Amino acid sequence: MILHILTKAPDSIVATQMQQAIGGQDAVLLIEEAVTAALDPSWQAWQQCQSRIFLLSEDLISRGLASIATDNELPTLEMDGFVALTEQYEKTVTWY
Amino acid sequence: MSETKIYRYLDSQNMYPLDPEGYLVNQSQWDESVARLMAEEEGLMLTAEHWEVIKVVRAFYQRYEMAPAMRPLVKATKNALGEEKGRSIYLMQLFPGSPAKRIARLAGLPKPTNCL
Amino acid sequence: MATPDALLVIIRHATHSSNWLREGLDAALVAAAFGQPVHLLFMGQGIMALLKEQGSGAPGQKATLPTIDMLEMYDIDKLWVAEEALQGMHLSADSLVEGITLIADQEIPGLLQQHTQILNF
Repeated sequence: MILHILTKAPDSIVATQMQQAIGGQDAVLLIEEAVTAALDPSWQAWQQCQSRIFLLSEDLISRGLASIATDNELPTLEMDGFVALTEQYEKTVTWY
Repeated sequence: MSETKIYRYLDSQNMYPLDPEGYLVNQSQWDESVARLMAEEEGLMLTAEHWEVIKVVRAFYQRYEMAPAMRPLVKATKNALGEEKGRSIYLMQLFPGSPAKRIARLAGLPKPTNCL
Repeated sequence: MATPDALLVIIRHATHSSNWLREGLDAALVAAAFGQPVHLLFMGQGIMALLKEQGSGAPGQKATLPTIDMLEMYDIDKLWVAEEALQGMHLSADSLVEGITLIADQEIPGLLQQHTQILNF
């Protein structure tokens, strides 16, 4: 079980590489540039990971994307949720 | 990367500058007499057994452009000089302390980068 | 196929674009120097590091190929290459150095799961 942390935009090569590496039990946290995924509910990773993919609130807010994420009904996580997630998964792999 | 900062000289004529860790600043200055001077300074008497290992390390550097850490040093020695000598204990006896670092210095190479 | 406590180092960046490749290889070498089993996975542009005909690059820049050749001296002998990425770059395994192993995209998640530690460069 791996927690993947994506820091680059959902249409980047980095995102594609991460998507290739996600296993069935893995979770994904979208931070930094990756929170622009809030704009695209049709992004394939949303389906691929279903209930185990989250946007980091802090980075959404700083980019003015928080209400869009809410409108698109996409799951978000606060900083403490992030910490809890890293504790829950045995490994973390950051994609930057 | 070779350290370009000169810290001191190996010889009294100030011909061979050394970096703060005692490695040769100008690798091209290396020859057997330089190695002997360095060894003397360390209180080491270079024998045929020392020289063949120094040559192994120089050949390693020529091929891979890096001085070997201990593990690859043992492997390279084993490949070149056989099982008997390709052991860390043998290299430790010849170059007590940190063989990888000491041999790189004596061979006129930069400090092994992956070696702590 | 994986050693239980092996470290997986993922290399995704090409030689000349940044320091990522160099740092990834250095991390692999340091871990191996300490006796840690290390496996490498090359994805995307990282595959370029394995081209056997690559030259030495800009003056003062360290060439990559000698370091790749050196990996076996550090007992790093598992070099996985993402097969679809290789094809996507219009390269064949013949243009890469000896001793690589191709891995299909769908096997990549499994490879990651098998390693207790992963460093991503």
